[in-house]
Amino acid sequence: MSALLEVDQLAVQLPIGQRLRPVLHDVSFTLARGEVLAVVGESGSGKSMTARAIVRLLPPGAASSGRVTFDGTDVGSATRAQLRELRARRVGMIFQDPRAAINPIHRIGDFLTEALVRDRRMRKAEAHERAVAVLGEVGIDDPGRRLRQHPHELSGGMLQRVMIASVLLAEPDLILADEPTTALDVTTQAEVVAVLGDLRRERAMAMVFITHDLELAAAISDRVAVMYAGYLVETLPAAQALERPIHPYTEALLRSRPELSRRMAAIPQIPGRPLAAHEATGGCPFQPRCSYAIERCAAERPEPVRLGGESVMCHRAQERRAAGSAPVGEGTLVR
Amino acid sequence: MSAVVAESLCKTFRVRGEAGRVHHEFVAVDDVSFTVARGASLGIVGESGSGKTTIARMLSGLERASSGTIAVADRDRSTPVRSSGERRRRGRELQIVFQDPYTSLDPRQSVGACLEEVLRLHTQLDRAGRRSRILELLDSVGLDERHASSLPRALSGGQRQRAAIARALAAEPIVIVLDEAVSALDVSVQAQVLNLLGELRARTGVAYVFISHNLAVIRQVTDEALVLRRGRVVERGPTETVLDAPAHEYTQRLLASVPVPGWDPHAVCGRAPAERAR
Repeated sequence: MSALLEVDQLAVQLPIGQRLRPVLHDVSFTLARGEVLAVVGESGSGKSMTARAIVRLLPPGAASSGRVTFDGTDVGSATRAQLRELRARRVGMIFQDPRAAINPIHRIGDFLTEALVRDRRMRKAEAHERAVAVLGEVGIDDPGRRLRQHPHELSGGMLQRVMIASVLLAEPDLILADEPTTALDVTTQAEVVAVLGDLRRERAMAMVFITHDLELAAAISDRVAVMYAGYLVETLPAAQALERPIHPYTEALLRSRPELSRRMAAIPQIPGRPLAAHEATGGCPFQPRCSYAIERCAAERPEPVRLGGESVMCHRAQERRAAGSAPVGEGTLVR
Repeated sequence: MSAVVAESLCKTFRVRGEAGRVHHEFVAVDDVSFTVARGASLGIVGESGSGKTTIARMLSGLERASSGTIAVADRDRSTPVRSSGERRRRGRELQIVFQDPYTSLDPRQSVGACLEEVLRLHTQLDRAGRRSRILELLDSVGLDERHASSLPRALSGGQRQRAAIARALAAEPIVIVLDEAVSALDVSVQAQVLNLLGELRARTGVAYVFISHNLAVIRQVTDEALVLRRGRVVERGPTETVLDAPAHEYTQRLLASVPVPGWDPHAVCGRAPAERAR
């Protein structure tokens, strides 16, 4: 089956100060229908920018290069009308803070049915029925009453489910979820993730799930993409993400998490601070903080290499993989 | 001597009903007691609405308890302050660090000036003494002289939080209340700040009341833990015991909610179906 989404050498520059500065460097990946890709990284690594670039929702003044192909269509050369159609029907977006994305003065019902009535010329009663059904699907009790309420009457977790419901109404092929559970309590996060997992199984929707939480990423996705300083440094199957990452940054990120199962004398730190995308110079962007760096790493930027189902941007990828790569301390793996 | 003793703390808010008429009372904190020994670290675990931030605000005097008492260093602080000297002493003994230092640091004040102000208020140091103490404080949180002249907006998130911790330390408090102080930080920065907090406690003997929803973080920096739910303590004990052998159904559910390999989010929802869509 051909890929639903192909991102090829995507680069984005933003005007910062007086000049255009890179925020995304040559990002490439593909996504099959029904596949879930988790994009992991720290703030400023380019995760959100990648999602926005997919639907060409870039800040004013941004410049981009590379190619994004969605279901055979080149998004870069799409007309305004095609873009509107893409964003309204084919690709659904869920953001971290549902309160910022839902108009506070409209009732939940109006929010959910607006697009159906206006764009799809559905009759009001029918749209209402659809909204009730979809709220039930995302686990909201008494949907009839909820439709009459305003956003401020709903909790954050509930509102995020309304957001997911609104995306489902459009029946998209792809969902871009940008930290959709970060603002939620842990138990609510589990509920929202369960809802997303069910929907994906039932409807075979593809998803790009952006998060800073590697363990959450591994738990909900098929593949994990790790970003650093605007580069996609590693893409690997979710099952391996926590056990055998190859890129030193992924390994270091895993190690620097406090553990649930034991107290460490000290958490292994990554020296230095995260690099902004525009600060990356000639070599590997992670080189200044990498404990495996060799001379070549400072001089020459590694190209992503394919190793089985993985893609790794590291000069030492081959040898790290051959050496069984990095078994990350037992405590990280087992609870 | 104890750093903090809180006894039967209650906080009730009056909630105005529709048309500003009908009032009802919302109990945010309901009969919460705890003791933190000098140099100890108590974790308070809970989700939104559990009352953990209300407890932090009562401890720091930003909110008055409806009933119950709080003592810091064996001195009661349940009643309003009577003098500026008393207010200063309370400020010196207990400091607080919030989740987002961007909103708690003065955006127009450099980090050095901020520390200078605390030192002038709370210590007898002369100008030269304050100068060297500022450098010492910055060094202890991994910042340096260059950062002294920086405004908060020129610092990264992790640097800002370290500046906030340096400010809290400047008064040489007996206890620091940390309210979700590492929650907004990136993982690699969070590791640095957690290690720093461990070192500082070992070196200075300061006590922590560490409020967080993150159980792994609680494990790393606290000795004892309380689990709060809707204002009430549902479980308490040594942090290890609470996390390794949780007795209360709610603590078990919190633990089951943490994503780990093989995690099934349905198990979390399934266990309490009545609450699923609350």
